[in-house]
Amino acid sequence: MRTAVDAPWWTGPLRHARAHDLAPVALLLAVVAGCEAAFGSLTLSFPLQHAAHSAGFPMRRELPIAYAALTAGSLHSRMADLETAAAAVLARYEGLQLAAMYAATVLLVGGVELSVSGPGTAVVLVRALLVWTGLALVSGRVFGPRLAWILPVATVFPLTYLGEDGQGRALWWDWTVRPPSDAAGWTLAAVTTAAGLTAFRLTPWRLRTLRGRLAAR
Amino acid sequence: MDPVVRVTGLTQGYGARTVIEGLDLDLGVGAFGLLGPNGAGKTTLLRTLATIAPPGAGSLEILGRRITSERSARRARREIGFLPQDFGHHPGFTVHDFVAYCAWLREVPARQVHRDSLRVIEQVGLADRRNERMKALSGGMLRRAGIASALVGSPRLVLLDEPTVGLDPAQRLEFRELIRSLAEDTAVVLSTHLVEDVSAVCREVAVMAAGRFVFRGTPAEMTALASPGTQGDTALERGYISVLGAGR
Amino acid sequence: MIGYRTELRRSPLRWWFPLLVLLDLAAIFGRGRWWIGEWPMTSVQAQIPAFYLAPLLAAAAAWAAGRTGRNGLRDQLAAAARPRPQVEFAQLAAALTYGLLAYALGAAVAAGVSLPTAGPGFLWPGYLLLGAALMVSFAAAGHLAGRTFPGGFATPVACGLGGFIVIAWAAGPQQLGLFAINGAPFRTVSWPALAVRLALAGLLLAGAVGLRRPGGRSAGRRALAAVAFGAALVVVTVALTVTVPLQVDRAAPAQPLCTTGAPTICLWPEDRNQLLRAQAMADRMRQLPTALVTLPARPIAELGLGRGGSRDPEGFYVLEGDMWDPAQTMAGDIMEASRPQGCPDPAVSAFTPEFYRASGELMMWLTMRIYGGPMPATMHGGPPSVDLGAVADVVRGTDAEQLAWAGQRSEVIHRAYCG
Repeated sequence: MRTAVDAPWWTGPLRHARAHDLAPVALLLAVVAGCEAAFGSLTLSFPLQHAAHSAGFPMRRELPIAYAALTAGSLHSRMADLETAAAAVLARYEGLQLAAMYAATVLLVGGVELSVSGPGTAVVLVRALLVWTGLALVSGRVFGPRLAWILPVATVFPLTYLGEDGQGRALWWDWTVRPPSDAAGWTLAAVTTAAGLTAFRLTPWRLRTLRGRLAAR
Repeated sequence: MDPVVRVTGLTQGYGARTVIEGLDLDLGVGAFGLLGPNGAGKTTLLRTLATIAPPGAGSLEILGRRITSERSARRARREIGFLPQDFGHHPGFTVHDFVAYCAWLREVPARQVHRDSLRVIEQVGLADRRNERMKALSGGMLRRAGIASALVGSPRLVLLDEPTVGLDPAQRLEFRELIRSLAEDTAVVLSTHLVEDVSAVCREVAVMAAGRFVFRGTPAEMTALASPGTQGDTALERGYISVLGAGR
Repeated sequence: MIGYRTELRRSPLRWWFPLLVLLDLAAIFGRGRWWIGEWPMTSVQAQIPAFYLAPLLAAAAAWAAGRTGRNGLRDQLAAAARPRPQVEFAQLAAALTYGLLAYALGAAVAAGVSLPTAGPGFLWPGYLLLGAALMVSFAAAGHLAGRTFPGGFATPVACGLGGFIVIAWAAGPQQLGLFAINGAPFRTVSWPALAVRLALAGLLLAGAVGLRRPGGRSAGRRALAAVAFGAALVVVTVALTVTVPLQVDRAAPAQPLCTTGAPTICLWPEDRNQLLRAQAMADRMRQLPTALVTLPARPIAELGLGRGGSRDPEGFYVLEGDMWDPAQTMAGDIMEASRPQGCPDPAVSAFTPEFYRASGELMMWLTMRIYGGPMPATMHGGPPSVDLGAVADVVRGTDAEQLAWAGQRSEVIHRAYCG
């Protein structure tokens, strides 16, 4: 039975959402989705690796990086120092938060692209989102959640500059261009997602256990 | 009766640098003062006791349970109140939000969060400011809010890193009184540079230097170790300086 | 100076510097090797990394500038005796030092590999300054953003990712012209255009270190400074659009490099590393069967050397350091000179698909003969309905076989013109 001064159960999760600035994150997701719908077709020109001219492709190909950075960046909390000493509840809610961010960004990218570009592009960009989100989670673990964008942004160079062979064909690892059914692209998405989720769960204790197991071999 | 904390052969380090080496510690109910110069390893020890940093070597037991994994560490944290030296806060949180969020982080039952937050806020003297935003608080008030966050939910082990920094003399007296009453049924570890705080509230004190204890005993025993001619304003300070000198 | 050294030591880029250098070198050497041995191409190549370094610097500068606000140093800086612009400049200069040093190292390496084969001359400073101006502009914009919105997440992301998008969308040679992609010897960066881009960098630099938040005792002056900065930015942006295209034609040299013997092939002095290949092509042209083809009488010149400047329809272009394109131009000239003379103008119906195929095949046969082999893999295109592999097989045959094959195509062409 609740007394008059009891707080409802959801005040804790709500404070968690506030500590993690989830309202501004949601607003930024909406802004990125709006940019994708309105300006996704803008042509970006990048220098070419093999030629003395540039190649153009639509901006939407790079935009999943922003979604990925927001997903991993939302794990940052202004109260991180106190949260390091938290019981299991924090990990539970961070897991829920990550799942919700994955779902929201997949729906946003897929939904916007399905309505603007068609199913092929939607599938390719959702796959790119998965790759970049995995990388962002790894980056967040290595450099801290506020610098989660570093690894995804670092991929812009190889993807835009080194992603084609001499004949202008996309190399096997260019996950932003390969066809929707491309096995290598989906393998990359699976590997980076697994790496990202592992990084997300890799606490100092788990790292210690892992080291112990490796040393025992 | 099992001690609240038992540390055996603890070694901790960052990369190649060893910060704590082969440390043993048993702590029961009561206030335990941790003194030592900067870089002695006090904060690292507190972080280890808070189960944030797993031991590099050695073992850690909290309330009779060996902490060996993430799962056991998280379970133990329900009973640990930890105030880090520096802690962030959401500027939009009120004092009550801040303390209640820390209670939620420690899995204090939902039906107790509100009541218990109000209790500890009152204990630290912030009752009239409980609805004020954290960004509007002075340094001393922020510190008191931090202390409240460590006490909420009545944890059985309280770890306080430099809790009296920024408190005025009257507030420090109130804080000492608070810790004295808390220490009747709780294990409290107080890491500080202020020896008078230790002498006022701690039954036992340890001096750390270069990652190991160079003294363990009561404040009176440390006072008795004061060498003639040692600098210091109080007898305990002179004892502390003497212990440090001998430890080096 | 002490402040600058302190900022250098605490800049986050000190850990990233090796990666910046690696990125710079990857951008230079990941783009083929055709630019080696030609100074304008080497200069543009050394400038290309600025395209990627500039947004990274913007993100790093935004992150570093925001630390003042994030770490609660505002009051300390407000109470400092040293003027605030000096403090801000030291912070921005540290970020720029790492970025520009990586850029300069890349340029030095590019110059080093070009030096043995390029002959007289050196890197063209215009292109290098253009890249530097791009990096300074973006770093300064990032610093300003970091000062204004000191958050450690959204601002650096917006500066980094937004910077890439802005550069790729609006800064290309045909848009705002903030960087060059092609370093043909007959074109050079226009000095007025470069001056405007340097002015943009200077203006953003001044704004990044000099602008203050409105408010306080000198609120009016600060607001006025912000308005003046905005107005100057508008003026410079307009000047950017007016000074496009970024590259202008160079005056033809008095003494171009030419092969010996007729027909003569002339090159820009910067293309001297192609002279031996051009001489070999001229020699191969002389070995073509005169019974079938007529060699052009006039010199065959690189673009910019003839009367039409860089738009000379008869000039050739050494695309990406390969002589395939010149060989095609020379083959076209030979086809033109070999056109049947003295026949009335043919009716349009005479140009049948068979005629076009024969013309195309003959043209490609001539190109391969002049070039000395089949089309390289790095080149694309060719006349429609021509099987380049089959033509390459012909070129590998005996002289008699080739003569018979080419004679058949000549006969088709002759029939179209003269019935």
